[in-house]
Amino acid sequence: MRYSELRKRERNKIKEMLFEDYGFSMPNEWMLYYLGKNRVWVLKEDFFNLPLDKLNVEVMGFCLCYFDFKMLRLSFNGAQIVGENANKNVLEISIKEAEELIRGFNIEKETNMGAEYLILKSPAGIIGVGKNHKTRVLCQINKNRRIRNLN
Amino acid sequence: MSSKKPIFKDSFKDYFSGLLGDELNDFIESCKKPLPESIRVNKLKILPLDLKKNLESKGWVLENVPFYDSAFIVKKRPISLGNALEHFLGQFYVQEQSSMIPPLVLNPGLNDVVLDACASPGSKTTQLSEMMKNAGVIVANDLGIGRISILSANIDRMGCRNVVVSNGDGKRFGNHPNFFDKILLDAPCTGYGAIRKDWSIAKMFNPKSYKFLANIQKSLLKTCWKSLNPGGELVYSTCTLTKEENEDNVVDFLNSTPDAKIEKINLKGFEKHRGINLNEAIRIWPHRIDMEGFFIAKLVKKK
Repeated sequence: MRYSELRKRERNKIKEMLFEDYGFSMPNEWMLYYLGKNRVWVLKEDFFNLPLDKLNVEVMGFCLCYFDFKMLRLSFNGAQIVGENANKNVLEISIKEAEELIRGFNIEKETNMGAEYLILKSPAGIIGVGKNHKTRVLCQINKNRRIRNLN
Repeated sequence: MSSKKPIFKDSFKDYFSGLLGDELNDFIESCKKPLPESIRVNKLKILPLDLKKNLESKGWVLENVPFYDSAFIVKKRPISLGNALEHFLGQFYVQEQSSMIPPLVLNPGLNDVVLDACASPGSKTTQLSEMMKNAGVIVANDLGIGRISILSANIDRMGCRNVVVSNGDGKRFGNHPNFFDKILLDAPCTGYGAIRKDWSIAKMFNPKSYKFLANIQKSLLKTCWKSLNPGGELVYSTCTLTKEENEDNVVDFLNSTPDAKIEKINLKGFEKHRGINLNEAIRIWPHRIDMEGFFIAKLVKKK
């Protein structure tokens, strides 16, 4: 696995976008790395005490987001962490709507919010992000993760 | 279940009759019964009582697991476990009760460096991560590349952030001496303890298989041991019931490794479920306790 640390301006841009979109202040101690194209992961300092070059590492830490300079889309874990401390662009959805989304359906809902990707918060918990189409929220849940039926 | 009726070959009955004597019929009958479903609550995301309250409001009936306050036996549920929204959110993991024991026995500290040598699909890795409150480091390794994606998906779903997933033969950890504080070696095995989950396992009974796997387990044990820090602990477990893959392996290892000693496992409710001529270990027979068959031993590296 190839991993590379983000450059300072990439890190600053992510910090800025997280604050602008969700009012989230990214902790300074987060170590941001690319693992795969445009996928930003948060790694722990402790990981670098391991012989990473000899371990044949597949994955480590947690995926924060997909990022290029034009957009930032939070991952499932990223949305859960950022969402706990976000103060804007968090869309409250019902359990029924959450169940629609995890099956891969979009939901019809007025959003009145500005961000391209909204954090979706159901009474059961944060279920990730959805793409904001003003009157609709598009499901962004990975196909492998979706539930095929609820029975 | 992969076959309609379990088929127990004579060789299977003869082998277990040698270990169980008069209890053989009880053992065979217990293997025909399905396992009780159980879930482990992910305290990284929700408290057990909150999840219980939430699920019970939806018609679930849950019963406490006696030895672990983070787990429940599912008596009734309106939908299948894997399709529940709470499962999607990583609030619980569907895990057999006996499989929860090895991480409890290993009991990692918050800042430990832990190796889970045969980690996929990740039930014990995610349990360790939860016990460590996402602190420290866990190296979760598995040999099968196909199994790595399942492991990674479960780690991601459960919100574990202190895990490094690696792919390769667990034996290579012998190249990193005195590295880990704790090691969980849930070794590849014949799986005869899991017959209640998959009856086809009984049909596959063959002395060649358990002898072959016992050799692999021995070499994994030896090489993982090298990577354990002095004073560190290794928990050896399998979900099988042959003596060769369990007690014999541990005794052979203790006889050939001067810096190893076995420590008695004290876990409430398992005082009477001891290994065959190995009182320090736990052996779970499914007819004596309503769980999957399992074996767990705790080894300590002398300082």
